[in-house]
Amino acid sequence: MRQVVLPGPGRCEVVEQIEPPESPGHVVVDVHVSVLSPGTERAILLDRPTAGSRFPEHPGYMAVGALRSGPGLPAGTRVAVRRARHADVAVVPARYVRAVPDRVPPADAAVWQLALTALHGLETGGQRADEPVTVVGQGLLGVITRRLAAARGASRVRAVAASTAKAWTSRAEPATVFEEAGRLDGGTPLVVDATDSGPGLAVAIAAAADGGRVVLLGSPRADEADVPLQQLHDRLIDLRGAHVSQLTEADEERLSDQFFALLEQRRFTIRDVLSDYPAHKAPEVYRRLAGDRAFVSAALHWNTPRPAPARPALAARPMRFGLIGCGDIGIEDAKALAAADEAELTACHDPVAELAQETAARFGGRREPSVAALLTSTDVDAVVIATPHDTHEPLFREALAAGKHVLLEKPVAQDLASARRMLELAEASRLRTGVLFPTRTDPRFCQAREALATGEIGAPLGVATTYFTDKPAAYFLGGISGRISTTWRLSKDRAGGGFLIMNLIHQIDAVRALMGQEPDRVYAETAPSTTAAAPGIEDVVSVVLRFGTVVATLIGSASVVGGQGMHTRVWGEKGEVRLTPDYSLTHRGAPGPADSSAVDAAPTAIDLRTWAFTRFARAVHERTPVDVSLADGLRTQAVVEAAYTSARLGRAVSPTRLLEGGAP
Amino acid sequence: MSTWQRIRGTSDGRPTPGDLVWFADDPAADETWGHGYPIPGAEERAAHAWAATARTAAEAAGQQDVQVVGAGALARLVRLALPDDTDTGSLPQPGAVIETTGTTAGIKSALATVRPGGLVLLAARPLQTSTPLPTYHGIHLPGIRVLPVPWCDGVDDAPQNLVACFLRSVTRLSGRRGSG
Repeated sequence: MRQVVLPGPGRCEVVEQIEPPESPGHVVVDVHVSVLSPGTERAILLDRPTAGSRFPEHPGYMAVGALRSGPGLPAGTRVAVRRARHADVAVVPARYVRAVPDRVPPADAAVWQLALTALHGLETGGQRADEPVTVVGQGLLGVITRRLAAARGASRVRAVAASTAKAWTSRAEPATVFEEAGRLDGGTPLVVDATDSGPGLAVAIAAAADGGRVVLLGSPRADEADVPLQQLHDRLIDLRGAHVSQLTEADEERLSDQFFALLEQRRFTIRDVLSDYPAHKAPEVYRRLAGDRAFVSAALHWNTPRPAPARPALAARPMRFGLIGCGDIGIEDAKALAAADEAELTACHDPVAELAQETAARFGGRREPSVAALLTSTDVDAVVIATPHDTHEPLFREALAAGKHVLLEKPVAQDLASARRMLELAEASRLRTGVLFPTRTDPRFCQAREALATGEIGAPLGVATTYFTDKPAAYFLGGISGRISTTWRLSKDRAGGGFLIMNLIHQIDAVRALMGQEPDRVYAETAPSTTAAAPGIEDVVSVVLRFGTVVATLIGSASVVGGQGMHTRVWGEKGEVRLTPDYSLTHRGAPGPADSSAVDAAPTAIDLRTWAFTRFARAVHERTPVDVSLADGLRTQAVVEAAYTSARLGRAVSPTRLLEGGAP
Repeated sequence: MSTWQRIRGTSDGRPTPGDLVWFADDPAADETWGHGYPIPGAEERAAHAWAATARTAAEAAGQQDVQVVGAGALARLVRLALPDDTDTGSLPQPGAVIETTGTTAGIKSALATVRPGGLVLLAARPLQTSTPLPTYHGIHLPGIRVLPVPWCDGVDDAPQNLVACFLRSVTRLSGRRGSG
C-alpha cells in the first residue's frame, strides 16, 4: 500500500509499505480520501514541543473509503474512518468506521474525528441555542467549530484571527462575521479558542463577555504560555480545557450521531476550504502546511482515477497557466491546476483583487493587477478564461494577441455571433485553443462512448438526460460560493440565458459527442426562473434533439427540491448504458449490468478539470488535437442557440442552418 | 470597597496610599496579596470580605474532594468553610483545588494536583498580569476548568465563625511594602 511518511522534521515522502494484517474486531478500508489535520500534523512535521514526534511519523487520522472486509457493515459500504493514517488502506477497530449517508461528499464525512473535537468543545463550553459564539483561529478546527456552532443554532458566529489570511473561509457562512484580533467589537458569552498558541488564548479571553466562558480547544504547541489570568479573574471568565481524549465511548457515539445527522441534513460542509491533491503530491501539501498562512488544509485523493490511456509525464516543464477570473469557477480551476501533473498556476487576475489574492494564496502563483500585466508575463504559457460569458471574446482576442494558448470555460460566448468571431480568431492563430467541458474527460463518459462505438448496445435508439439542481436566489447574486457580489447571471445580454446555457449545455455537448454527429433539428420549451427575477433568464428547460432516427430528450432546472444532479442513459437495440451518477452497461436479457462502477469511484469535479488541464497541456506539447476545439464548442453553442430560437418561435430549428447563417 | 495590592519584600513601610489600613493574606510568604480598607472599621470590613470570599470559594467547589493551596488567612478560612468530609488535605488528585496564593507557583501547583476533568478555583487574584502556565498539559489535555472566585465584601452575609477566625488571627500589615 502507499502511505505518507515523515522521515524527519520538515520532510515528507509517499512510500510503498506492507499492508497491516487483518485482525479480529478490525475492519479493512480502501481509502479514497484522507484529510490533513493541519494543527496536529504541522506540529509533528515541525517537531513542536507538545507534539511528541517520534520520527519516522505516519500522520493522519481522518479518511473516507470503501469497506473491504470486517464485522458490521457489508463490504463496499462507503465509510468514514477515524484513526486512519494517510494511506490507501486503513485497518482500524470496527467502532472507528461509520457508513457515510448517500450523496454526502467524501471530504465532509472524512473530518468526523475533528468534528468530534469541535462538538466536544462546544459542549464543554455549554453552547446554548440562540447564543452568539466567537471562534478564535481560522485553521481547519476553527472553521469546523464555527460551522458546527451555526448548525447547532448559534444566533451569530464571529470568526476572529490575528490576520486576514484565511478570512476567505468565512465568506460561505451566512451567520459569520470576521474580525481581526486587534479590532474586536465587544464580547460574546461563549468563545472557543481553536488556535494553538498563547496569544490565541489571550485573544479568546479578550473576546469573551464579562462572566463568559472560554474553551481552550486548540492544542497549545508550546510547553508554557502566558495567560492573562488577572484579566480572567477580574472579568470572572470561566476557562475550560477541552480535549477529545476526555470523551467516553458513549459520548463519542452520541456526538457522532449528532455529526452524521447534520451531514445528512446538509447542514454542515467543509469541502470548500480543502485543497484537493492527488496523494502522490503529499510532499507539496506538507510544504504548504509548513509555510503558507492562507492554506487551511487538503484532501489527499488516493484512488484518483486517471484518464486512459495513461502516459508517462513529458520531459517538458509543466505548462504555466494564467487564470483570468477567480470567481466560483475560476477558483475551481485554480484548485484543479494545483493538482495537475503537467500544468501549474503561475498568475491570476480578477477585477476584485481580493478574489485573486485568495486564489493565489490557496493554490499558488501570484496576483496580477491587470489582464495586461498577466498577459505580458513571461512565465505564463497559456490562460484559462473563467469570466462572465460576454467578456470571453475580448479576453480571448487579447490573449491570442499576447501569444498565449487559451482554454475557455464553456460556453464559447454569450451568443453564436460572438462565438463565430472567436472561431475565426482561433483559426487565424498558430496558438492552441480549446473549450473546457469537464464531462469530456470523465471516465464514465469515455466508457460510454467506447461502448457505443464498439456496438455494445447495438444501434442507439434514444437518449434521456436530466440535470436537476436546487439553487437558492442568492446564487444569482453571489454564485454558489457566495464569495462574489455580481449581477451578470441575471442579464440575458451578458450571460446569454439561464439554465440552458449555464448548465444543460454540458448535456448538450455530451450527447453530441456520444452520438458522434450533429442534431438535425432542435425543439425546446423554456420557462423563466422564479428565483432569478429576470425575464430573460430561463429555469425550466426541455430540449429534444433529433439525430437521424435517434431522439434525445434533455430536461433541466435549478429549482428542483433535492436536486439529484445529472442522470444520463442511452439505450439501443441490444442494451443500455448509463453514465451518471454511476456507469453501467446492461445487455438486453441479461440479469444485471455487465459492467458497472460504484459511485465512490466517480471522479470529483476537480478531478475532471485537473485532467482537462493536463490533457490540454499535453495536446499543446505533443501537437495533438485538444479535447474540445473552438469549432466543436461552436457547434454546441449552435445547438444552444437553436434551442433558444425554438423556444421563442414555438417550432423546431436546425442548428446547422444557424451555423451557416441561414434563417432558422 | 477595598483596594487590592500585590505585596512583596521585607523593608519597612506600609503600602501606599497611606489612608488605608492594609491586611496581607500571608504575611509570612515572600510574596502575597492584600487589601487596604479605609479607617475606621477596617478590620471588620476586611474580616467580612475574607470570610465571604472563603465561603464563596468553598461553595463553588461543591461536594467533591477539595484541596486548598496556600497557608494564608484565606486558605485557613476556606478550610474552615469546607464541609469536614471534603477537604482531602494532601490526598492526590482531588476533584477541585482552591488556589489562594495568587502566585505562579500556587496556580501551577493547583493545575498539577487537580484530577483530569477537575476544577481549579482562583480564590485569589493572580499576582501577575500574565501567568506562564502549561496550557497543553495543565488545562487543555486533562480538560481542566479554571474558574475565578469574585472578591466579596460580605458586609451583610459573611459567616460569623469565619469572621471571628479572621479577627483572632489578623495582623495589620507592617514591615512590608506594596509594589502593585
